[in-house]
Amino acid sequence: MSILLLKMFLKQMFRNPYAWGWGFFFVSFWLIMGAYIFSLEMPTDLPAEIYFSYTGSWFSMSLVYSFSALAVGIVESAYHSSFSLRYLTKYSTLDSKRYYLVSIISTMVFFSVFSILLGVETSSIYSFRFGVQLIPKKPFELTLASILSALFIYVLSSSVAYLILVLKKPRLIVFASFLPLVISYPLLFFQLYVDIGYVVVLSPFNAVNSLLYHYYSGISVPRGPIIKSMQASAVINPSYFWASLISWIFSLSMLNVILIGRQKGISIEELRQV
Amino acid sequence: MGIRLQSVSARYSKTRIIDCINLELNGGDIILGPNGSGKTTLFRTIIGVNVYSEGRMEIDGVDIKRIKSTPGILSTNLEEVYNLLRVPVRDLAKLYIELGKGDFSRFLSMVEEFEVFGVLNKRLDELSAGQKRILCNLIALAMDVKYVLLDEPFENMDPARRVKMAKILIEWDGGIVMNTHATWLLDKFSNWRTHLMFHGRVYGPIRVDDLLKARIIEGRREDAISFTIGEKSFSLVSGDKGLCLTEIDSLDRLFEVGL
Repeated sequence: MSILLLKMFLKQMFRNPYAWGWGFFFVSFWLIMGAYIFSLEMPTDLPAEIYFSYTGSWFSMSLVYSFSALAVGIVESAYHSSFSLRYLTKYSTLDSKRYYLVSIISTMVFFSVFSILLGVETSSIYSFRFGVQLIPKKPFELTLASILSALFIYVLSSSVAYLILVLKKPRLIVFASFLPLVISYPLLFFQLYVDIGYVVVLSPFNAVNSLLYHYYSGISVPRGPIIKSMQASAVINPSYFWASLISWIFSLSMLNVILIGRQKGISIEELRQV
Repeated sequence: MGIRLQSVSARYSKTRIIDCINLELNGGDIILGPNGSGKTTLFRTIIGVNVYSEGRMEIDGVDIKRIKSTPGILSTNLEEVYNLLRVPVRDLAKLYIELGKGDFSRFLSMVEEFEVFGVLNKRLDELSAGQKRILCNLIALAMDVKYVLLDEPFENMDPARRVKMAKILIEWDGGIVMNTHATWLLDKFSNWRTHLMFHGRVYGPIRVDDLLKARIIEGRREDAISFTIGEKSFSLVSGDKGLCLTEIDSLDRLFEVGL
């Protein structure tokens, strides 16, 4: 039964044109801009490390934006399916833990496909542009970081959706679904250009960005703007980012379990208010 | 033992929709009331979703709040129940029927009977209101459950399919509880019980054939079922004075009479 549910989830996700449009094609457009427009003044005879740093920062930011764009769909789907979930967990064999698990697995599969596609795209385009082979330095760790990033985005999105259901504020759903995107956008740009201190570790979006950058480029994340990573005197140990990310995932999962039990679903009339 | 509600009130945030009702439903029940009387909210309350409720509600002696992951008790055609995933109707029905331990082949044969096979590859939100209603009815009926709650099961359907649906419900071997504001169909369900519902209050039960013989007159009578619409009271009495329910197509007309 869970297999059928998993298949249905994946079918829904892979057939969502908005996810492909915003999560892949729009992000791909910016990746191409990064390779061919924003790097116009970059000399072609720099050390390979600089190209790795540049490519790694584009890849990490693109993946976070892609995941945040996909999160819009997760929030809306969790919100719209709340009534059905409440019904099914009472009058069918489905229980909320199994639903949650299948939903997480399908999201991770879906996000992983996006990570692989964007990873292959980034390394191909940037290698071609700079004439250096720019494939990820630590692919295993990068995959693990991508999976945890997907998990974090999932638990964050579902917490936001269920919080709105519990608070009975349906009009907030559109704003809330864009919340991951709205928050991640400035935070990641700050990290790129400004020293934001401990926020780099405490903010989950920056922790994700830092891990993806580090494992793609093989360069340590500096205590300061990423753009100056080649001149940085002090760097941050990746274990801090792992700890931050895992803590966020754990806390939001706990919150989700509480919120799922308290939400009563949303009726057609309330959905029409959105 | 049936579905039993004792002193049940329900509200959405601050608006009270159902006002301290007592009700026993065993299947073969029609909740009859005009639009806006609280019929759908009553079903949502019974299902235990989306409503803040007070009072005691039991299905076959089990507190509704305690029911978890138990197929075979109840199914419904409420549209919002079928929002779990945005996939084609065929997939959605398969998933719900398998999760509810129903019979997918029964669903497919009913789909053929209603000649809606062609829409199975579309999503529910892409269908017309009538097609949506038919398919939600059919998914609910394909479950092997003790009680099927059907919210306005004939709404937006063409006359031929209404008759087909009525025939299925009359011959159904199980507990059907439906709500409607339409009175045209009452004579088809002559041995069922009706519960009249106005402004969140339930009056009755009264057997359909008795209801069909009754007349609605203005004013409150001690020896009759009386109910209030707006500021006016009405009573159901025997005799030949007053308005016969079969003379009006829908209970919504009572509001016009009330004017």
